[in-house]
Amino acid sequence: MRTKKLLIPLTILTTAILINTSCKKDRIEPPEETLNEYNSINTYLDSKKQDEQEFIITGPSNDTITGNQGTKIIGGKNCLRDANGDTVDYPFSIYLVELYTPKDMMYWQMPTVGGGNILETDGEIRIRAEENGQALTLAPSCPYEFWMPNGAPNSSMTIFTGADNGSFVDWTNTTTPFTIIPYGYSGITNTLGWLNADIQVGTGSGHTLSFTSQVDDLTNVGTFIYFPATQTVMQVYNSTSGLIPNGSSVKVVMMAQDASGNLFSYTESRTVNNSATIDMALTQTTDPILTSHLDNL
Amino acid sequence: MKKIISILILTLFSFIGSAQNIGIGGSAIYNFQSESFGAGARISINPNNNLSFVPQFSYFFAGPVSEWTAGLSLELKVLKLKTFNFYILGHGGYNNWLNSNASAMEGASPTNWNAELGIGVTTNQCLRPFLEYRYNIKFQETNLQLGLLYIFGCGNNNGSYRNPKRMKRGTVCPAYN
Repeated sequence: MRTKKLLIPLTILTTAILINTSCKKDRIEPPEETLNEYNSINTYLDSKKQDEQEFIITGPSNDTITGNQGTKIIGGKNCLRDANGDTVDYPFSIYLVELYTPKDMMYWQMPTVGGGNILETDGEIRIRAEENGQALTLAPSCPYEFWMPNGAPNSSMTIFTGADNGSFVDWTNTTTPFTIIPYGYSGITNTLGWLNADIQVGTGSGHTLSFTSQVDDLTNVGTFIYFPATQTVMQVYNSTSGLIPNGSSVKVVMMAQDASGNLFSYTESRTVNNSATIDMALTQTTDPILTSHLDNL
Repeated sequence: MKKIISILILTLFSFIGSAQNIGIGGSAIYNFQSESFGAGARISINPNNNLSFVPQFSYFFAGPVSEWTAGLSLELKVLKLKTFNFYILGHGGYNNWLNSNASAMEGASPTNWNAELGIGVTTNQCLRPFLEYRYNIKFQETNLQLGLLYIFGCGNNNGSYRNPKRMKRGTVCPAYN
């Protein structure tokens, strides 16, 4: 009998636990909030970005090229090598990307952050060379010279090179200074690819900004933080920024495009004195308005 | 007319009293998932048998879910102890979910057929407290019912003409004295 008496509450308890594990509160659960979803912002940004310029070099007379933003590349075919290390013949192509404004850097999604530290920048360029569709490289000890236009060049700027780490292009300081010339900056590079005129501003410490939204799914939203004082562009990945030095004045620009092609944006200016979470909501905008905003950052 | 009604009531009560096979009760109910309170009313047919038939009605009036259900339970006693009886139950009923339109649940409908399984415990007395724990298969919810069931004709030991003690004394019609 005692065993029976013990079994009863045990049975009841077990039944109750088993039943409760399969219970649902569906009838009183609040409706799931549907966030506004957006397509990848890449399509819009790609449609707006500076074209990569191609220069077909047919002979020594046009070895030096000038991009439409003023970048000059001074080099010749003698320094170029194909994949086998052999010299190349005319014609070959030089490709150039010039990013001198925060707008263009954002469109190209080319932030100026190196090793997690923000960089003051006076412009980014990319130089590539091809012969018959095959990438060319520079021969050892045979650099290319490049000029970057600037009305007030900073003698502290050094040449940074960019390498794609799979997620973004990270910048590394070559510590090679520029030569200040009336045109702006004159630099020497032993490698083709991304080049940047920079000064490291970040010190490995600072605050972060995080972004949340009650109405928007931020997965495909392009988020940038611009530092007007240093012309630094930071791109925000996974809704949390990199380190922002204490006291930085920044401008936040968020861009999104829905499945119908409508543009949405969120912008704000703030001084970052501590880490913060920004609960934001995108509002519909137009391409001219957004472009104008980026022009006036 | 009054005489007829009186006679009918007396007849019914005398039947109830003699058979001890009808109970009537009420309960307070709490649904754990809908977080709603309600009240229930029931009639138990053959409450002393192993198998009882219990037509019942419940109405939830306090909480997020407002609804009423009318149905029938079958209660099977599985363990009889000195003081307590334990039973399992199955219940089928028609459910009217009065504020279903306020629910975000997919397929929420005001009219539903419900089935419940549960366990319960009660006593052997005339006024029987009972406690039931039920699982609603359709809504996948559980509720707890605490109530009282009164068994008609059970405790007529104080002057009833059916008082067994008096019967045992062998009351004899004066005509035979």
